Amino acid sequence: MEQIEKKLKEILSKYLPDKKIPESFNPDMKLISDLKINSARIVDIILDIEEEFEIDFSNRDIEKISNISGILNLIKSKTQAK
Amino acid sequence: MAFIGCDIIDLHDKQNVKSFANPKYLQKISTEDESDIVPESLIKPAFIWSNKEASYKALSKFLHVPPIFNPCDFTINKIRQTGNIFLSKIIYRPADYSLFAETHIDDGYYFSIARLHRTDHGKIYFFIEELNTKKHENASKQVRELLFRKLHCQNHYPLTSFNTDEHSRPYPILIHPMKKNIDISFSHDGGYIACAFDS
Repeated sequence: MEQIEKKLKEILSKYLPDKKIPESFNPDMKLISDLKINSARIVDIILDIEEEFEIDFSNRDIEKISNISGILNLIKSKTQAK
Repeated sequence: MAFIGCDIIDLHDKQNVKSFANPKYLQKISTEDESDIVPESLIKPAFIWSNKEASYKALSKFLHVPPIFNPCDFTINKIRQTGNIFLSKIIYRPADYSLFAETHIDDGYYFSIARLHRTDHGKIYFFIEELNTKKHENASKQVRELLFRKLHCQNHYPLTSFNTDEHSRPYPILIHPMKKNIDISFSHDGGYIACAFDS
């Protein structure tokens, strides 16, 4: 899980307003309201995750990634199912 | 109230340019049929995104919607052009709701205003300004201050009569000048801030 989180942070940092993961980063943080990521970048994040972890997100999966723990759980379940 | 939502897309924002050039981005936010009805003269991902996000914002004032915007919940099924404005009909599929959007096309941006009722056309005011700060946290504050100044100058509403609650739900924001509620929607992207409101 640590490796997944590390890779996820690298992806997220590209889309953060100041390109840096905040010190307060935690699994409960929401992408838009807490990390201030532009909503149009959520699609970019999904595409980057799909490429990095070689998984596919369904149209419905976007609803599960409003916060960090949601993304981590989704990546974990999809990588385990491969 | 009109239940309106707006969304602006900065066409020259570097990340937008990169994202919209990726065919996979368009596939993630639209169906093939839907993409086909968007005129080739438009930047399809920008047009589809702004229509759908504006619709989500409008709908979130009226229905309980998921906390995160899913573009695949919306389908654009009709588009009509009048000059630099494109009028669209958009279906929210989970509840089979129709929304109506107008998208203003400019060299620098696409700006969509969506509403639940077609008859609300004509009652909506909007303004678009270039942003003079790069800090996102200041953009939200800036657009509100700008709106208040405009309403103060145009409608003579006292500046002290406004109250916004931006954290109440994902998007709905109401202000209360005197005894009348005004439905309002804000948007920020790249170098632009925008606002639409009924009056």
